[in-house]
Amino acid sequence: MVQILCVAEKPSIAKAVANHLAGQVTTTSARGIAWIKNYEFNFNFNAWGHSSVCFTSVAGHVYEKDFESRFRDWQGCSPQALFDAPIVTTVANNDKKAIVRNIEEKARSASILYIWTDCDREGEHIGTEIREIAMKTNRRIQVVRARFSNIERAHIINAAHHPFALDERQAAAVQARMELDLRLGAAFTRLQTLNLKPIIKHLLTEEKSVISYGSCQFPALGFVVDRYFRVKNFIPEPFWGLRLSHTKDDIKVKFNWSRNHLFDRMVTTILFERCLTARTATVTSVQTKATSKWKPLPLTTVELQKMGSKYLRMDSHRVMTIAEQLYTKGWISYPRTETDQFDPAMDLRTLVTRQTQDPNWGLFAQNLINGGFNQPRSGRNNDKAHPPIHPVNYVVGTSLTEEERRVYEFVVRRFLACCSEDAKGSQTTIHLLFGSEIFSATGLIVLARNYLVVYPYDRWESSQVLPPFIHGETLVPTELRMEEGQTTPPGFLTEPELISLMDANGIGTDATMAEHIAKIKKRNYVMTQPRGRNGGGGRGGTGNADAPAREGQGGTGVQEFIPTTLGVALIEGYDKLEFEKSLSKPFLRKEFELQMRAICEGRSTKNDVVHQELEQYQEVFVKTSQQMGVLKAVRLFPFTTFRSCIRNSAMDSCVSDHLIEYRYRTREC
Amino acid sequence: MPPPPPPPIPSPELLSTLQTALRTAHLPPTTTWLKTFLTSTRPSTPLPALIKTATFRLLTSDITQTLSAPSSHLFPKDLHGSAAAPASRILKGPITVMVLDIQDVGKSQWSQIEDLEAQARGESKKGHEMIRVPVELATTSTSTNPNPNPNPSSTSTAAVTTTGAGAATASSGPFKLHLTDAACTQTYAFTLSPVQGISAAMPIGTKMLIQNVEVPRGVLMLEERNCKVLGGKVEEMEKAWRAGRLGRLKAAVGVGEGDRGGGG
Repeated sequence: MVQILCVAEKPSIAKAVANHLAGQVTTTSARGIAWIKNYEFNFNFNAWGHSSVCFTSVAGHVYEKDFESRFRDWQGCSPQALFDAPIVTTVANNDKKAIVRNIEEKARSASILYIWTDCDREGEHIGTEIREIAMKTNRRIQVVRARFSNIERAHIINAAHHPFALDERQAAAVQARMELDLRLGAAFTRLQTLNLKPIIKHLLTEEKSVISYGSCQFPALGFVVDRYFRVKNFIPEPFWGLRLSHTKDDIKVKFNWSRNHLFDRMVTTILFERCLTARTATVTSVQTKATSKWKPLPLTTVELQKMGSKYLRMDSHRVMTIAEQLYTKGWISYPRTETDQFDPAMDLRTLVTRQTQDPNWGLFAQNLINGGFNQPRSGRNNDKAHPPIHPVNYVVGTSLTEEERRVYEFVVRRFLACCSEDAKGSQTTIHLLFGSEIFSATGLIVLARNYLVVYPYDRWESSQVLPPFIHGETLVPTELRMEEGQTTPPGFLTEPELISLMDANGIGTDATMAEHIAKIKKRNYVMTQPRGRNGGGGRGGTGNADAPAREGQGGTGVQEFIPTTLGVALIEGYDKLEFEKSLSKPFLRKEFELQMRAICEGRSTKNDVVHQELEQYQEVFVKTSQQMGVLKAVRLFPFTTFRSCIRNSAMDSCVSDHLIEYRYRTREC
Repeated sequence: MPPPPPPPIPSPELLSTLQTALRTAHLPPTTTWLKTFLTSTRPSTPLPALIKTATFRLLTSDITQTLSAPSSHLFPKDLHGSAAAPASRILKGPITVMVLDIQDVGKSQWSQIEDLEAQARGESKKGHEMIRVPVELATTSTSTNPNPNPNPSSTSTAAVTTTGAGAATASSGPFKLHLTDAACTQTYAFTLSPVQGISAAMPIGTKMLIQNVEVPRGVLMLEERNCKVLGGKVEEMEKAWRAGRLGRLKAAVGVGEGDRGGGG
């Protein structure tokens, strides 16, 4: 019988996969490390026939990279030496040593090494580490890897029968990233700490803390600081608008001004007067058309993180941890994916069927099976590794923790929504020409809620019913008002916004963004608070064109970020250096991320990328050290929060016309 | 020794032909300007080229110095109200006017300040999120007239425009303009509906022709049908305006220079 050694990335996966493959399992602990188990059983692989299998695991990366010991001492070398100091690879600790020994032993008698690490870049790299260990004791061992994206039984068995080769390019990209992160992180952290610590000691929580640098964390912090200053520097301005309402058939219809509002009182007043002079308005169009609210796209990691902070009362890091657990237990598919399109060949109906037993959404799922099923929409992204996040198996909510239940429910509802139909409605738009001005009113009637039934995270409600208007009809509007308002500052950056910014600017990958955000919090560069406590929370009809749309409708628990004095000082310092590619800006990191992609696609090599990137950053490093004075000179103003609540005086003044009373007044806040 | 060539004396016919042509183009120059102009051109220049050059120079001049229009082609003296002036009237024109200032009243001044400062840092926005772009991409939107050729060939006389309609300035307005006529009477105008050629990138000193325009409370209501952008600009005015724009916006909202991010 062929002997096959299977190695997963973590013990939970080894256990789950072994149980799917095996009829009968013998479980033993690896020598010297009780929590790593070896599962032994027989399995009939398509490729090798009846085989004797030993399924074990590592626990993440086995090896650790660090500088040679003489470079580890802060006083022993200049930080700049770290750009080319020799790097040594070690096995981190005794646990990892035991893991290595276990694989070495098991590999000796095996003829095939079957790698079951997660299918992403990190997983590919861990796969190469496992290969290295196994080949130490068995140079002729044949190495293959399984490709899988969830821990569902049929999927796993199918993966077992179809081995692939390790993707060397992805592994090389990880190597490049690790080396760069180590060198850049260490060099800049030491430079900053050595120079700045004496000045900002009082801001550090612990005596021994360092002012750490990370090439993703700094741009992320940069976004937070940038928004903070937009809020802080914001100056409210008045604006004026016209509001028309007309009562017909006892229904008061509110019309919006096509110009919305203008930042000039004189002009608005003139337009207002011209309307009054015109006296009658003409209905220039009445249009009723079918409209729909599109069902959501299949779920990606970034989207899951954003929705998590919006609706599930968890930050992105927490959502990912929970999703990770659900994946390991086999309830949902791999939660790290950029793909927002389902492969047409995928059997989605079966997945829907599994949800029919749920007391809450079971009926909805059943209706999909009974003919309501629609193929999900396809987004534009496909990482060619994993499908969108979807439920794999059904689990009763009560057997999950509260947080797991919330995330699982979201994943399921999202999936069912994807398989459902767009919500349908009918929208009527009426345009009025009054003087030279155009006013419009819309009425929406939701005809079929469809996906909305199962997806409460979206809202789409019928509006008031419009009375009938006829094209060409003239009318004397009941009321026209000129109103004054004031612009309000944007809110502090929320986590969903930060994720969008990082995503759009190539800071980190979908898999690492949440970690970077968690890190800048941990390092005391930013703090969080629930949205709306301070600053520009409410935003009704503001002049802020770029105010985030429809953010947290009160108490959904969206967190917003505020930089600490330390965070502000660091970013201000780097901004003041005025490099073309500042560390506080995303440009450098974006290039870095693109280079990683280039390695994965075979357009570049690890050595070229490392060399090129080090050169770029070294240039910044040299300039930074030369201008340390600028960095040190940054003022450390005390942290403050803002209460820029805007109030308008409710001043009424009346202008009356002979027939109708028009009110011309400022709006109450 | 041959006598020096006599200074060219423009024939009266040439003078009057030119004058007629320029009047038809709604750019009637003062006699002084015309004479100075003719002394700076070669007598052998064919008439069509002469007209084009004159038109171009007038478009790039300050019309309060160079044009001499009959009162029917000027703003009425009581434009800004007198006891007798109506609250709203129609100006028949045609009146040649020059732009002294343009303001986007559809955007808050603060957001315009933010845009200008971001532009200066080489950053821009794409979509609704803030996205940073390398400096090379952003600078194109601040460059000015690429064609300062004083002797334009063919028909490009009216086409002195800037390329300045960059991403940040592609606002649809509406705009409030500060205008002057040839006799230094100044007034505001508002783009009631979009007018081709009027944008935030429009150079200061642009000449426009207005006709049959409605003027409530002394403010011209500009529309495509009553306003034609003739083009041109006045280099010094334009430069001074661009240079002072951020400062003016800041003064308007009440921030001094020297605050964080000030000056770019």
